[in-house]
Amino acid sequence: MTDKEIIEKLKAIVTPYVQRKEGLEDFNEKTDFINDLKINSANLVDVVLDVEDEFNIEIDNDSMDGMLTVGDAKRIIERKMAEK
Amino acid sequence: MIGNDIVDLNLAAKESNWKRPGMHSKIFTEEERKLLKKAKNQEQRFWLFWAMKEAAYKAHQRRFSLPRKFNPKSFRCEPDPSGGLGSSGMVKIDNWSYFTSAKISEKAIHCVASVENSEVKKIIFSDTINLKQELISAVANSKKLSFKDLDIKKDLNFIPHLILKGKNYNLPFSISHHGNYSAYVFAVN
Repeated sequence: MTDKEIIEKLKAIVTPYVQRKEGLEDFNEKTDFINDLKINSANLVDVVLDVEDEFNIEIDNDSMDGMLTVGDAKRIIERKMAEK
Repeated sequence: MIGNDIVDLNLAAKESNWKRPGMHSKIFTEEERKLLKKAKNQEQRFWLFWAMKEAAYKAHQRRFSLPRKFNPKSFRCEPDPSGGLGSSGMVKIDNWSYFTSAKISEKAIHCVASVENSEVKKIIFSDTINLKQELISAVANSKKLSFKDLDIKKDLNFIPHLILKGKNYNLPFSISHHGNYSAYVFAVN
């Protein structure tokens, strides 16, 4: 899966939880889930669970704790998919 | 050091499915999950634990100027068995502890976490207000400062600080907003 495909899938996953829709216009690796998209912290758990389902991986708590931007999420997904 | 968190329970019910499979094991320790199962009102207990963790996280992050981290499970709730309905207790992270006290109604849960059980000024609003301005006036009043000289700015870790005439004013505080509810807390002494 390419970077672009992962980011497209991530965008689809986070969209229902985004409270600042303008943040989706320029959705890139630097996009911050909380500051740019205003996803509330409880919904970040939903994002993690959705990512697990979509990519068929398991995200442990130590990986989850650094998942603050789209780029962070992309790198975790790539690492977990490589470990499979 | 201080942190606070408010949960608008009506909005939380719309935004989150607290029963979602897999969610509890991401957020809660085994001990917390046991306590959750035993609770008469599990939904309320879920959001109480959540607010305790968030409030303690904010106090902890401010105390040590930490970068942001998303690891709610690492904050362990130990509700006080004598605290009635588990409305207060300790939250522990690594070897650090925070006292928490919570105010629970049918509509909202507000939790304050602090290092010591010290005196705090705590205000909860149930309508739309400018929370930062409210906090600034309250601090100005309490510390006999001029409202116009105070401002709030976030640092590189996104922790908000009070600024007095352009310089950092060292007063621990915390603000929280969710749905129809807003709250601030700051240390009084």
